Amino acid sequence: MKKFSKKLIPYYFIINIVYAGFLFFFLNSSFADENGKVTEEFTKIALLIAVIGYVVLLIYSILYYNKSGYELKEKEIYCTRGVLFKKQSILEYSKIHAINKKQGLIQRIFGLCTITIDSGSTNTAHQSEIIIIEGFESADLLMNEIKAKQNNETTENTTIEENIEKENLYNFNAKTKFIYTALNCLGAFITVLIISIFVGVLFTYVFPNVDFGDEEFEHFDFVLLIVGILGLTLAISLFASVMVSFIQYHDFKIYRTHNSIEINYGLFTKHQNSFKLNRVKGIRINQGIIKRIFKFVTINLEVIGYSNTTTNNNEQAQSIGVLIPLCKYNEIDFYLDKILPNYKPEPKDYKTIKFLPFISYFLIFGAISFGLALVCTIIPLIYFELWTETLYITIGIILTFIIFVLIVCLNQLFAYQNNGICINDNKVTIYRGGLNKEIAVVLKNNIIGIEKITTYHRNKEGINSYIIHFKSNAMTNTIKVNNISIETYEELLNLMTY
Amino acid sequence: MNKNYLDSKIKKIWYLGHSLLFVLLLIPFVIPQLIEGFILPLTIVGIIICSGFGWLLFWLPGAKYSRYTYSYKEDRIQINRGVIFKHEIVIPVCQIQDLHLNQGPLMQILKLQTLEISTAGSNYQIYGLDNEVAKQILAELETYLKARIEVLSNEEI
Repeated sequence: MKKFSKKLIPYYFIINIVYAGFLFFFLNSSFADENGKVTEEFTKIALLIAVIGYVVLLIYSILYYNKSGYELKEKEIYCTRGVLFKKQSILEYSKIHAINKKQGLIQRIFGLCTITIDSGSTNTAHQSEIIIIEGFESADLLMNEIKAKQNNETTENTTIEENIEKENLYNFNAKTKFIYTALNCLGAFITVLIISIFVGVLFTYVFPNVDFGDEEFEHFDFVLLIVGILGLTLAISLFASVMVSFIQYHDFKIYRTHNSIEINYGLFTKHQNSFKLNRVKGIRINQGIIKRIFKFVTINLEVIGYSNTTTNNNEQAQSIGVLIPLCKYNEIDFYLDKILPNYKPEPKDYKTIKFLPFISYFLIFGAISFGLALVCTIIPLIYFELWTETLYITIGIILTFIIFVLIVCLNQLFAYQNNGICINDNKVTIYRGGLNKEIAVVLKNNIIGIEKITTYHRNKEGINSYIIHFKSNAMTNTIKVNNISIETYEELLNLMTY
Repeated sequence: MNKNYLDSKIKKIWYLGHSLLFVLLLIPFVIPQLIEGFILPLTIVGIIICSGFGWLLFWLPGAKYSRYTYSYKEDRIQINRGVIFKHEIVIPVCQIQDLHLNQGPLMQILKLQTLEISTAGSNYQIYGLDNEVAKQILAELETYLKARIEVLSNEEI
């Protein structure tokens, strides 16, 4: 059993000071009185708690270091970790899904990095099976050794392969990063603009007589306040976007060897992820409404173990690994040809001919819930003879319902245009989504179940929705496509391996 | 494939659950009136909501039961369910990773079991099977699975 790197001990000494510092400032600020001042006694207490916290953390860390270890055996990796709850993991090389290397800023100062190895197990989808913290150089050696064992080769063979110069397949240059940031911000900007106009109109024309109880606080001020809050959100989103594209995706590189893919990125926290080609479960090509206007796309990967939860909120894909952060719509084939030729999306063969099913149930359920809300609020108001309020609330609820219907219709109109499916010999291409468009490609081997959804009327019309279940972690293992012609069902069933 | 229905005892569990929900639904309308006395608008709203949802709650178990069927043969399992939106799920037998039988406290009293089919991605459940039936299905699926694995591994060679 080999222990983690010895550099971990000084690292723990420093990092726990940071944690204890946070604890101290948190306690200190929570002891503060109304004027924000803290008495000396409370500062002393906070300091004492922080010091005790530091000692406890340090003891825990050192125990963690002492109890943890790993061993590369002939057929499997063996790893123990944990202090109170001990965890022992054994993972066969052939079952490794992804090997990721991560290096935080402080870890880099100490020359440390964390290697996480994921098995495809759904039980442990939220965390890695094996964690190894090692020195920088030995980590590289270790990764090569594991990769070699994964391919059933000796270490010498891989060193030869390493010498072949690897070609970077995607260039995420400053210009693309700028466009990426601009697109993300434009979305936020338009949302802010629409909400500001809505609030402005609402308070100047619809509710001009609402009394705020404070004479100096005019309607205009209220509108300004809301616009100000939204503007602040915009600024934060801009900042986050710049952070994401320039810091997180700094030095973004994709390499491909004959059977594996390696994706590297990061300025402060360096990520190095690698996985074999056959571990790719599917790809999703995402396009928000702004990206659609400018014909840009993001290509995401479905690989258990390779994921990036800090992706932008604009993209619906939350725990999906990014393959290509941004490229032109017509460049999809070009990049996929180089990286994953099996996953090239095909043009859709089947789509629906009816628009009504896309909105029918939204309207029915919407009408029921808005109707209930209306009834529940109006009856008490009428009872207490508050006629003006009744009028305002009725207008308000009806207006909201109209806006809801408009948004649903717009979204579903796009969905009606988008939704479609193409079934080939070895893969399924799915076009789905309304304003946020998604093209998903799943290989035949990875499909594990087909779920058909229909209603009485849709069945008569020959329209179905499908949920395609495929091998992935429990969070993202389904793709839904709406209202497709019923002819596709047999084809889909025949596609699966029985 | 002939369609099998669940054990009708499962309806009792569903009715019990829905009755509890109905009681929860009544609370915000009844408790204030017990404390403050009769409040007319609350009663009207309460009657509208409770009659609507109450009808739904007590209609659902029967509808759900009559539309919940399952069937299985050598190579596939099929589950049909859903009242308004009818779901039909087809799972190939060779994709099964493991099979579980689960029993809650109520199900233990009624001698019912839930069969859970785990695959590499999703889990699927067949609720409310009689103990004996569940064991029989489990055994049959196991033999089918073994046979399928053998056939598939031969094909690959």
